[in-house]
Amino acid sequence: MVPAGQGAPARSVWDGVYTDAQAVRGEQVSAEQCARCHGQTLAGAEAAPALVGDTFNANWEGVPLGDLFERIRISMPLDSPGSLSRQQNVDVMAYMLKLGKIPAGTAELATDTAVLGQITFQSNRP
Amino acid sequence: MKRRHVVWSAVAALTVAVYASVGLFAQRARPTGTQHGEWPTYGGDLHSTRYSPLDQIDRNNFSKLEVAWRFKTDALGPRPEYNLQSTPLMVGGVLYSTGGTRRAVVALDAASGEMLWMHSLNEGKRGESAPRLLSGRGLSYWTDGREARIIYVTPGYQMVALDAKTGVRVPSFGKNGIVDLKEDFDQAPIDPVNGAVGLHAAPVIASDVVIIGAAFETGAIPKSKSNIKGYVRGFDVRTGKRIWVFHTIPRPGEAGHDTWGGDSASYTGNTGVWAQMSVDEELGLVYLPVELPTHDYYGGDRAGNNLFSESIVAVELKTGKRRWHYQLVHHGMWDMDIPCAPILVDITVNGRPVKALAQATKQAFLYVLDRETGEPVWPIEERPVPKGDAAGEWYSPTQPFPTKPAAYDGQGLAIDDLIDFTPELRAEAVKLVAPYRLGPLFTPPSVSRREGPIATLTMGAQAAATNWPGASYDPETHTLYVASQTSIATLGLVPPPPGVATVPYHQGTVLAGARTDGGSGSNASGPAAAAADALSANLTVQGLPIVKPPYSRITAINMDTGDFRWQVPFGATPPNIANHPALKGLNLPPMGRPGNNNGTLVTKTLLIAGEKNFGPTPSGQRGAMLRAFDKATGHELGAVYLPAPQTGSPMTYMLNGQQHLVVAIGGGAYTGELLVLKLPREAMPAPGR
Repeated sequence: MVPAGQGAPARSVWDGVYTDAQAVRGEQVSAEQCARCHGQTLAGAEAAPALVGDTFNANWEGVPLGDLFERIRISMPLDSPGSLSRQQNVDVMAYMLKLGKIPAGTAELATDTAVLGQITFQSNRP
Repeated sequence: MKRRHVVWSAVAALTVAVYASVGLFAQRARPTGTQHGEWPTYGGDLHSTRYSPLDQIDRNNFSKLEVAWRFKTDALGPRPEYNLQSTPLMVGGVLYSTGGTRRAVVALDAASGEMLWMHSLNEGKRGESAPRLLSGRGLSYWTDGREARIIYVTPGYQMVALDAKTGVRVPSFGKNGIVDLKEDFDQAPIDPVNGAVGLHAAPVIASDVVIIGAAFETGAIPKSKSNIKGYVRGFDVRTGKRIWVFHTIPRPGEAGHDTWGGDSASYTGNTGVWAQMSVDEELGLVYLPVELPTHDYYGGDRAGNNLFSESIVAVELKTGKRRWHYQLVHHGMWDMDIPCAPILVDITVNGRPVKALAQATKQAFLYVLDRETGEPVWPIEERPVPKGDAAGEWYSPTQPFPTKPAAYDGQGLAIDDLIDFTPELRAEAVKLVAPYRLGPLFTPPSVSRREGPIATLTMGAQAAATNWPGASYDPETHTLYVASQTSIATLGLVPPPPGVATVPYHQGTVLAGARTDGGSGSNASGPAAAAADALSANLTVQGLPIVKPPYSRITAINMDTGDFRWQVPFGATPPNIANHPALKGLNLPPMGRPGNNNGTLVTKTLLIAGEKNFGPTPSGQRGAMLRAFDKATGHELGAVYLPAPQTGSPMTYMLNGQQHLVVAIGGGAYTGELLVLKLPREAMPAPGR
């Protein structure tokens, strides 16, 4: 089986990989599901790490978004992991990119892990 | 080659008897640190030194370490865990650890990693709704020479006793091996399923007493001024029967009750001990590092100093009776807590031997007290501190300031602390912080206003400097090693969203709303995403941290004098900082890697700690480095590649003539794993060295 997206040119998060509308949806999901531990702007708190900023950037630098998506899908939210839909998870990821000051584009992030795997996370503009 | 020390409990018992019989001099000479090549308790020993006298791994061979075995924890629970914080124990050739999303216990062959047994308790909803989920920080070992037990606390706050040989629950302990810690707690009945109390620390066991603290949901957004009280209890290790309880919030008639305004002592909760504790068995004292009371950032419902919050309390091991206490923070509102075990240190100050303890903190002070009396070893002065503007808040006019040692990381926030690689970056940083309140340590949280202040910005609070991994100590050189991170907390107060809580404030800002807020912020004019663009809670300047480096460091402190021996940045500078376009052409100092503080290990030969975040490594692989430092200078002596950052604290043991080094790793997309390293035969030191 050939994963969808295979052979597509390598892209980074700076290539306009999500939309503003998706980030707004993600913000709603985040407020309901993530903010309690990670803070409203996902800046982190005592018991939950920041999902934006230096530490987050260091941990995900150069990693495909597909890996980040799988991490969220498998382990979050902590008290009911796996309870969010793929669409909700990927919308949260769009919100995280927005908070990381990475510009939106015209296409939404897909819900397919393999497609997300073609997009690399980079914290600085290339 | 050195002969492996055979462990006989009879030998150990005899040793104790000899020390007990020859008095104070022998007591002073009693070795601390681990013995017989084992690692029998979370902190290495009950003094929490995290010191091992092993010396096979040294400056000449550290970089040659290779993987002896590894243990993946994915299948220990219903899903993988990414944050394995355990420090395993090693006793008698068996490695014991907690792990997995249900906090299972495993016994592994310490030579090969082969699983000998696994115990797991499916607590159902009780476990899932627990305030402190995941695998916890460890467990405890106990033996009387005949039988041996493993004791741990589940996410749902049940204490379990297991037969160390088989992993089977001990029927004579509690009810079929389990003590329900939500019962017999000297307070109103606690809902067995939803009562939000737990413990992720390892229990401490000494003189056949198990001492148990309590942890709660993080306290920035409480629903109420009232919560469960975090009393500390001692249990009989044989039966699980409660022997004593210490009321961290004193009851009427108990000492300290008068430090609580009105009837606040009756309804206020938290004030637990979620950190590790230390024990001096000779003095018969256990040292409790107590956290702050309900509401991490607002204390208007609890006027007064609030004893024994944010105090070190020495209680008798056998009775729980308080011997002395010392409060580090009066009436806390910075979430300083006391986050880690005090280290018990036998030092010589001005020629006088002192049995002392040294407490590392989030506020970057190392508090040093005589552990027999609670008196400061170097003067601690009450100094005036700023007041705040929260309605109904009670502000302590002074706070205690140690005069020695000096603060080992950032405190408060001033313009001079801001990034200054270039004048442009500094100017941008100054502009960014302009609508915030800055000030020295103990500047209170600010009520958040659009016209300013948005919040108080400060280092030395919430999650700064040193957290749960604590510090370590070399009892031979009287040197304490503490890792710390430099981070800024945004301490703003906003009204909670309607109907959510009965407290007047939650932590938050008008830009972002309270942390519970389901919408776009209490007074925000647009979505938080838009607000964050204009003025981010992500306080960075062109993606760079707003404070000057180093972002994390290790400090070595001479405990006889209180002076620093050295301080070095810890970890490689992250590439997004090192390669930042705004810093091109600048001669940059080593900056360390942003991230939580690291647990350190001291051996006879080395100081060892692993990086806490991913980055590129010298080989080009993504990962983190486990680093070894010269104990005398802080110079790096070697480094070993880890596929993921350190998440627990390293420990070491000797088995079959080989020193092993264990570190729990994980994070990002890498699931929790115990990684065990040892030297290849050809790299081992020559015999008789």
